[in-house]
Amino acid sequence: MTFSGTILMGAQARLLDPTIPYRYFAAALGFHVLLWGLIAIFPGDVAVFAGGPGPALAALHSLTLGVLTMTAMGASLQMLPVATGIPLRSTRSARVVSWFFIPGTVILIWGMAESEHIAMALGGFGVTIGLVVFLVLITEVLWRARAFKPLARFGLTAMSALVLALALGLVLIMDNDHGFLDDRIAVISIHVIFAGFGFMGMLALGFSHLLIPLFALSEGVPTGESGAAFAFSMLGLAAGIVGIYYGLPVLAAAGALAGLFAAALHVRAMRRCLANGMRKNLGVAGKLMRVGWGFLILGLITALLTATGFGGTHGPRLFVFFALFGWLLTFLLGVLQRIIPFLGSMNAARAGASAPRPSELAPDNLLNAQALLHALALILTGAGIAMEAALPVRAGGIVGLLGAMIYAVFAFRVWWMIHGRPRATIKKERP
Amino acid sequence: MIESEPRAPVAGDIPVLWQNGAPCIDLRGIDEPPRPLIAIIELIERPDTGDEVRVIMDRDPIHLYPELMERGWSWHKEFIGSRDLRLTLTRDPPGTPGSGP
Repeated sequence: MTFSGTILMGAQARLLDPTIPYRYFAAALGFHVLLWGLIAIFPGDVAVFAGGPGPALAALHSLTLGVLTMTAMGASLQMLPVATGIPLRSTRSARVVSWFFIPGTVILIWGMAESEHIAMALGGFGVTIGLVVFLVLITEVLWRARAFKPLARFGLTAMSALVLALALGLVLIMDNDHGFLDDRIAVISIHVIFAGFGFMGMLALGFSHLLIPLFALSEGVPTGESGAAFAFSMLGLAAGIVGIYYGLPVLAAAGALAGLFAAALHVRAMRRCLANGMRKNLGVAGKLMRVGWGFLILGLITALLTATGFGGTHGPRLFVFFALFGWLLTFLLGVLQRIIPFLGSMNAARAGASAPRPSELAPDNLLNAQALLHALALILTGAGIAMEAALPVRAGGIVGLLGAMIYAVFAFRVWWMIHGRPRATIKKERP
Repeated sequence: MIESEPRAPVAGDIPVLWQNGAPCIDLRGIDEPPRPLIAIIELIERPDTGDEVRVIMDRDPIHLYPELMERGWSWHKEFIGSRDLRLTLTRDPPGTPGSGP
């Protein structure tokens, strides 16, 4: 075997040191436990949450920054260079992101839970440094990968939205102490839209174009069809934000409607990938992804009802819950179920060491139990928010906490089977 | 040496040639993920594919290896020229630890 030349170097640069993606995934799993733990401990705050510091805001950011963004970091730093063939400019910077972002998120969440302004400012600073470095690294890869149109246009839009969501987040932290905003609720709403739909949502849609065909072993989505979904997404985002900012319900409703068209096109394309792929059954992961898409549609319908005055007082809360917990968290848990074993096998294969098959790393019983608990947690917590009742929220938090712990066990088991346990060497790569 | 005995294409229109008794595909210049992966998996899953498949690529197909492990295939990498990679894929004998079902 000849190990020289640019390809091997390129491959090494593209498949990162496993400690880089794993640190983000490990942190995300920790925040996943914290998220449900906070909901279980402070159900009253969660059931009637309408913004402002406290345990509910801390739980929300455990989800958005701690789980969703953290996982997006690990996945994009690892999967984008591998899929596009374009290496990160600096793998050291990929580590630097974690040095700032992980502790920054911990401090920020603690500050939010305790209403400590200094901690929020300090945590916000760490989060900002981490996100800016991440943004520069990933934007460069996406820019150079413009030939992969669906991925690049959704991804670059997500990075732009991240800048705006981050800026508004910092403004809200400062306003919390100084109170200079005239319409704080509008700024919070726009921050939520930019962060949830602009950044995480667009990134999820873009990554789906890469990951779903990869998981299902199917042809990708035709560029024209993806372009239509992208155009409706942009229209929905722009109309929704302008409508909220200027208090124009008709425009906000048009935004939700455009978002629904985008979601319908996207889900149709993804379902076709799954149906036509060589791997028909993605197991529990596939079910979680489908449930996530269902919640995306449900969330946008709730947004439409809320904008048109039919959503009731719970409309905004349920919209945020359906979008962030129902869609993004559920979809992400499904994606991670496939990525973690796959990444483990890839790293083991690279090392030429004993490499368990991905299917051996993903035991059905563990994953089924986690998926059931996650679904039950969503139902209970969602019902509690709709009824403004603490008891179902607490029950949802406890069930979600159990599910999160099982998910952490699954991920640790994968790590142990790849890196931890002594193994008989079974080289699949022949000398 | 590539004999010009064409087989049905894989992944839509990627031609399959027969080289020294084994099917061979050239995936250089095909960057759109996951098309190269689909082409290889489709080829090794064909009933008339034997125990060896040869692939020429211009990048290391990192995503492929877990799929090969899952299906009970081994691989051998060899660089040709300055940038290209020749992969020789071999079906594991039945009962090999870690091989697919």
